[in-house]
Amino acid sequence: MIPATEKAPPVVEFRGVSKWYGNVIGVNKLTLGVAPGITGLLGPNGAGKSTFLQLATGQLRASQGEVRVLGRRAWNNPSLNRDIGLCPEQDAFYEWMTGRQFVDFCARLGGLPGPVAREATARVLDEVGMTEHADRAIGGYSKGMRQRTKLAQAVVHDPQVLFLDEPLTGTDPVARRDLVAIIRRYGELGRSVILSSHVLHEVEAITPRVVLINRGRLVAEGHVREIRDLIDKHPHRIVLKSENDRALAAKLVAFDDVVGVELARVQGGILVETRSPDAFYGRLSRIALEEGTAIERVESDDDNLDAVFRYLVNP
Amino acid sequence: MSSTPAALGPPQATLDRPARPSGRFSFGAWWTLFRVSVWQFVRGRRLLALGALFLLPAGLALLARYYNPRYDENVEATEEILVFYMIPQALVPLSALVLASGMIRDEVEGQTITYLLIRPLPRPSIYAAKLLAAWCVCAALSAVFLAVTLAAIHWGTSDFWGEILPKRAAQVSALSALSLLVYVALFGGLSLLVRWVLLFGVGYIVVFEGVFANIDFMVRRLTVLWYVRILSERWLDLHVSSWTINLSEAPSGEEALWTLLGAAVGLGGAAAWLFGRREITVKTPEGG
Repeated sequence: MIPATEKAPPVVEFRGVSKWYGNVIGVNKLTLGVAPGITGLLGPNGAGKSTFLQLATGQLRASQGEVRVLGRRAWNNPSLNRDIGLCPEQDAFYEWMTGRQFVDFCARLGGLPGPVAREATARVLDEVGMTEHADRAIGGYSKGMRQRTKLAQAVVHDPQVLFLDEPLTGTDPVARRDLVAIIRRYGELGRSVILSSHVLHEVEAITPRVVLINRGRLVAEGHVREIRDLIDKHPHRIVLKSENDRALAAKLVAFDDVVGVELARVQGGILVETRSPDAFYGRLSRIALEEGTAIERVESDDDNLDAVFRYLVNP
Repeated sequence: MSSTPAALGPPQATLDRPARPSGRFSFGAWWTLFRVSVWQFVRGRRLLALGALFLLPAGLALLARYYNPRYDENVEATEEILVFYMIPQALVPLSALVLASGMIRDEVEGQTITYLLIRPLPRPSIYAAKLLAAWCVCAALSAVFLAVTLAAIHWGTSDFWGEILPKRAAQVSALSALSLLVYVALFGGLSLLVRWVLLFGVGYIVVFEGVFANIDFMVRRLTVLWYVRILSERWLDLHVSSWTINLSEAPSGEEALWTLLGAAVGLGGAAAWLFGRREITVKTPEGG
């Protein structure tokens, strides 16, 4: 396991926390401290990320262990809710409300008085780029608009810790770029953000600090580079598609770092395993220019979390 | 509906921070939840269905007026059947069941409960806001349709404007609101405990309020209707022989009133306490 490098007091602390849903384990004996700043919570679908966030936001009670946020008990602690914000994963709204009404409603529920709530609502809607659409019913919003609105309700009361559950899921590239920028800026303001995702590069775009969980257990935590270094100890799997896959394969097997070449059975292309991805990518551009082996597509199979967990859980 | 990404404005660069909420309980936050809850009930389809049901007694009264040649001799009997049997025994508890059973359940099924639970409002106060909103809507609904029913029955009589509409309508509406307080608390609490709350609720209405309340036996002391009938007899000077209430042995008006209020507070308080301690699991898309 990669040790945490941060020494600051944790904003979120799990001490031997387990959460069972009947016979199903959501989180399993998890001990973890999340330092201030932006942290990516990574894990494949069903890893326990949402359970983690629901425990941290006091919606669920730990079956065992203790969950503390900002040093305070998380479960059923209304006063703590002034200092935390949650952008939930579920795409649920009061569809009949306008975006402005919804965010204003959340601001007032958060304890902001009427005029302050109105002003805060206008500001956060502006921040998430929703001012133009704020007076339309949410029922008519696109996925990107809904995600922006969800983010707005989560930050309208200026929480110290912001929990984001898969905030980029289903968004178009523009919305994704904007949401990433907003989340990063929120972190730059000195707030802590805990962002869950099952896509490594999504999290990498926002923060280098990650926590990996799988099947409710902590798998690794630390800098994303350390995670990548760990991955680099294993052969990298790269999928290449060229105009002549067999000719390309013949060239690649000649290199010492290449430990395997397989003609991919699905959608054409070849699957290459290399122990030195940097060297491999370095010479790839030269090969790509050679006659007969022009490369049309390069995909790294290791960017997906399944591969990461394959390496980490079964080293 | 989808929109082009270009239709959205870019995020702004400033992110100035607002005034932070204070640490005290915010009555404003509670009031906001209450207002929105009332609005949720008012704009829901259930209210339309209940409105149609509540029109039934007025419709029956109009039918009786126009098709019964001896209607004038039976005005009191018509009022008794429609205003003191049909509405309090069936429609009032039914309206409470329909609205109160969904006040939390709808938020859970719609997954919007999360937005309430992550706010600095104590959970029992969230439940109380929902409960009170359900009661207000039910009470307003029954008051309006009681007045409509009384109008359909007594329209054109000499004491309609002076006695029936302002006084009698207010009196029966107040009794109805009182009984609703207990029903809403009862069915709201039941919705936290049982899955098939509508089935249980209808069973309760039929067995307790429909059957037990009419049997001259101890068990009717467990029904809301019996106390409402006592109040009707004592305060409205109403005497319905089929109720078989011996006023010399029955609780006083104050006792009946406090029994109902106590039941409402007890049931509502217990349900709020339960809601405050209960974990509410909202399904996530990935089940993670």
